[in-house]
Amino acid sequence: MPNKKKLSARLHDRRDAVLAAWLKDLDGQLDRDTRGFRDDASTILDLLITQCGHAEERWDEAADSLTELARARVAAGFATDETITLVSALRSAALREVAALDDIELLRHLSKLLDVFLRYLVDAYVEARDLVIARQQEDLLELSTPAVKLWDGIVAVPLVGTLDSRRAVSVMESLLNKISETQSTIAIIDITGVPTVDTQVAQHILRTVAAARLTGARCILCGIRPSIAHTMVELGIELSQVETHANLAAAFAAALRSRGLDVRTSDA
Amino acid sequence: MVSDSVRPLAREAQVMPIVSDHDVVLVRRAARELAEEIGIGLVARTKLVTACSELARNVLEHAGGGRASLAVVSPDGARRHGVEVVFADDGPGIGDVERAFERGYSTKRGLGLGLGGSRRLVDDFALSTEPGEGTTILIRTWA
Repeated sequence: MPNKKKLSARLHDRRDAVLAAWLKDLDGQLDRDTRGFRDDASTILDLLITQCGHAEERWDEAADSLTELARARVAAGFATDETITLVSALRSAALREVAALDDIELLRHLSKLLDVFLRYLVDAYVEARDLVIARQQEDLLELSTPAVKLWDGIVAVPLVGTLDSRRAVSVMESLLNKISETQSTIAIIDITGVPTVDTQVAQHILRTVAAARLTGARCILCGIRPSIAHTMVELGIELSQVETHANLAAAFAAALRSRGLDVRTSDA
Repeated sequence: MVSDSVRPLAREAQVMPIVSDHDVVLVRRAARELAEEIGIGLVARTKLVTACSELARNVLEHAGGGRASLAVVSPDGARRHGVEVVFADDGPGIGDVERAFERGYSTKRGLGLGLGGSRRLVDDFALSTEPGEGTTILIRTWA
């Protein structure tokens, strides 16, 4: 059994030296300002010292703190390899001080603890990153599908980017809601910003058109680029039931006309 | 149905997994970049990218996943360049190949245009499949 008290005491005595060596090492290795990291580094080191002194392994408290710290690293824009560098720099600094005691058992124990630290930090780090990504995806889903009212009775939805199934459902929902909210009879779907129209995208568009029709609105499709038009014809995508126009301006003009409105230059 | 022509011309290819929707996007992007690199025109490029989209999605939906191998090939010296993409999976294979190419035929709830349409979108198209043995489809578009 390693003398854990001795390990903890040694690190406690040499705390400032370990911290200084650690931060110095990081300064050399990380391509960023580590000054803001000093407080977090002290916290991590104190956690390690406490953890060394425990007779039995208890990780709940340390795990929570490490998760917190990992989140802060994500917020500061740290990459995974930088997080690993953090812990390996701590490892060399701490091992150096403990090596002076000339007790292989202590070194082994410390190394094991540091492995667990690394695992907690990296796990928490990846989790925190996933959370950020998931949130961004949600944001994007909301952002990229705004159905807008253009005029009384006319709504439009500009589609941008890759139209995967999730986004397609979100587009359809947002458009149908806008139609009923504004009691519109015409819905313009602009696909200028969609780079690839394959059969799946076409199917989503056709479904949206059918659903809109059920709520009493007629869909106008616009913004089909020539190269995409070529491709759609070769693929055999049938859009003859859908009114199409070259661009949003033409589609809007057609929508206004069919509502009995027309746009004129004022006499003044 | 097995044909020799699914044998790729490329000796080395960029192999990409197809296991999620996102992978379909990545394959599409990689094909677009290769096509731009060798100067394939906008229309042919759009067709190639769309065919990749269809075939990658087929791999995902019908076989539960697979891979795409992409490469630039130039069989007769440097005179002619093309983008070659091979889609391969270890799925159930296509039972009735003739019908699979028929317009409107789909075993899922798709439009049933993807396979036959893809063949029209590219210059070379070869398919090899055996029930239970997976499916390999090779396509090429020349610059």
